[in-house]
Amino acid sequence: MTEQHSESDPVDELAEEFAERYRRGERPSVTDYTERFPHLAERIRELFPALVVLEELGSVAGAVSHETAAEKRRVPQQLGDFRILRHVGHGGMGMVYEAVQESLGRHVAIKILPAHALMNSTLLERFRREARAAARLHHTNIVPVFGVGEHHGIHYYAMQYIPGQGLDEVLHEVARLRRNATAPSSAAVDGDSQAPVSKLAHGLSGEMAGSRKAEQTGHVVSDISEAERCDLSSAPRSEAPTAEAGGAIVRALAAEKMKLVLAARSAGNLASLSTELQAHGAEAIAVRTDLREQQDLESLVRVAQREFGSIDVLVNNAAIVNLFPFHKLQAADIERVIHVNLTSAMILVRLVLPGMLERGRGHIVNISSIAAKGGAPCDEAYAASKAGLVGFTRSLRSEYRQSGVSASVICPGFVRGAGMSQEIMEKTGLARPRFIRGCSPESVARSVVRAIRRDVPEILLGRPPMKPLSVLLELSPRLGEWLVARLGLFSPLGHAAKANEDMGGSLTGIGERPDGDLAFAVSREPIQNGRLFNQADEGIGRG
Amino acid sequence: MAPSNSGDSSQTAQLLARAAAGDHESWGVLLERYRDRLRRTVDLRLHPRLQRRIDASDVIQEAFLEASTRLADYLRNPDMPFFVWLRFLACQRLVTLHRQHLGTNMRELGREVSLYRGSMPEATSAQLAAHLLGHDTRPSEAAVRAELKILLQEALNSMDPLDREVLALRHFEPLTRAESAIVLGIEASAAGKRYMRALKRLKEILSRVPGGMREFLP
Repeated sequence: MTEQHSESDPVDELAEEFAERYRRGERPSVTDYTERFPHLAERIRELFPALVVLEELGSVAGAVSHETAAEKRRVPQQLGDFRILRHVGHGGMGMVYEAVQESLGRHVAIKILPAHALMNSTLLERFRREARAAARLHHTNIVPVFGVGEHHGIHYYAMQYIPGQGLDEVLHEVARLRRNATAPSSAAVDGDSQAPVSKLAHGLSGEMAGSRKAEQTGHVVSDISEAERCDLSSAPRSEAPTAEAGGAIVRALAAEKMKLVLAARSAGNLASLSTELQAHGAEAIAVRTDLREQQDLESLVRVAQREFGSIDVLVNNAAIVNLFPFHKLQAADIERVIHVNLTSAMILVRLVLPGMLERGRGHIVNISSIAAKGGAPCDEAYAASKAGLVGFTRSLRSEYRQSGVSASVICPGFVRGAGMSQEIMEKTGLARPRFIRGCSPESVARSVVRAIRRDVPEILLGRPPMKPLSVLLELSPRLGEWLVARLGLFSPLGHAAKANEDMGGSLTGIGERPDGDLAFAVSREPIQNGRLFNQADEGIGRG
Repeated sequence: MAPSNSGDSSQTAQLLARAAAGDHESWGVLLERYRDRLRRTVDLRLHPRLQRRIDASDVIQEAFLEASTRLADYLRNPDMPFFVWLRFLACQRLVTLHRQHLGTNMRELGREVSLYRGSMPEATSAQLAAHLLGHDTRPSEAAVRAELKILLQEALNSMDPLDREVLALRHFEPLTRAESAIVLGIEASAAGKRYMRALKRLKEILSRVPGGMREFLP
């Protein structure tokens, strides 16, 4: 059988030529071909795009599998106590194998540093650091790390092996979420990997997911310790780009010699923050927590107690926003905000209170918001959840008065809500509201420390108009709201909500699968009569 | 001997002629020229369950041995290009191995492709954890790419097996138009039609993915 040029289709020939050029590394354009062969243009346009997809996504598959095969041959059948069974996958930093730990007869997953990385001492150090960071994560939902080792120059660490949901399924879910998010304005949203909004969401939701949630920081648990005083104030702040207020609170508490239990949804983010804290001499563990899961909350508290004995301080700092016209929200969007911002905080308090009461000491700090007081539009669920925290805190103080346990609520001037809407505004070219600037993550952190130290019932943070206004709103609601409207204080929020709506809610994750977020846990001694740090009163004035 | 019938280049024909005359060096040179292409074929078609037990290099080596013993037969009637013949031997070897290791229902091996076996291994929580914990890497980009690959793989899986095979031959192994026609056992013009129809169908399927073709194009 031979080739019959006379009968062959010119478009087929062009397709072959096009694919060959593609394989040589050229990137011929389809337009170029349609211009060169106008009489075939229509068919070229119909056929070539699929061809490009096949070459683009198919060719790499070949290359990758070659590399895999090469790596496979390099790996011995035995690594110390571990007998390698099969290759299960690989990532940028290593190959993963299924293996049996022979002395214990248990299945493990082994991650091996790829050969090329051995050439580079930085990569080797990173691999070791990664293993150490992974080993510090304690949670039922995190694969535990059993050990780190080296065998004839092959560096590896062993994790529990759990056959389970495939990465592809996870990726499908990611794809689904991304498609929902990108629908109305793909250009703007695609660009958001560099945008601050996404930076915030990024670290929290995990790099893998890439989904955009404007969620934030967390909670805490805490304990007693003799930890050395560490100077975190000189730590480079830029290392934790996510969850600024949460990060600042944790650093401030670490500077007060607290042992910390960090809780958040993203294991990677947690690990880097706890590694940073440890590098500065603080004791910190990270517990991956989905705040909407009752069992996660229980396990968070259990782990904190197991690691540090008791919990003395709980900081509830997690929050997510909708920033969307309320009448267009789904019930799930409302529930998601209330659950993460308010319900999970109340459940955590419920879980830590018995221990605190038994010891007769402890302090709870709830991070609310000026939105609880100021009547900000377009985030009713957020405002309700934050107002809920204010009422919750007041009742706690009343019920547990004289017990040695107390609670404070802090209302930052939109460090969170407006922090995010500010990013949204910058992205969408809307004006930046004046009242945002005053409230830095560090000022929130300082007020947390002050609240614990002096048992302050409530701290209102923010630029001048907010504080008198909130008082006015209490005293004379009608006059207060007139003034708020008159000053146009919150009008940028309305614009931001409109922008968010135009983007299908993707800026704040409207309509996405609801999920939890970040929490931080802390603790320390001594605590007496509901007051922490009573040995030192550095005289921070009332805000 | 009628090398012109095989559609091979004159250089290949010369090497073949020398090999037939007992020149081992030429034979070695000739085989080495095809090793990488055969490797892609074997990687594409070796069942994932066998990938740990069987080394693709061994499959190719065995195909080469077979070629050495049957070279004279081939040269008596070279009705296909030399590479296509080598590929045929390698595929036969694969069929035998699959039958030995996986049982008998693998008759259709030559036609069945399960793509991305090497690069899309069965994912377990261990792999997922490795991804999630590998925060020194920047997985977001890789994840998007992997996601697109999965979507492409799904699209291919949903196609008629012959359409899928045509695309795999032309793009993943890859074979030339003439070679794939021979492998498919049909006329070149018919193979071309089949190929273009498959491309068109693939485009239709990919266009149905939300975001459409634009999602996939670089």
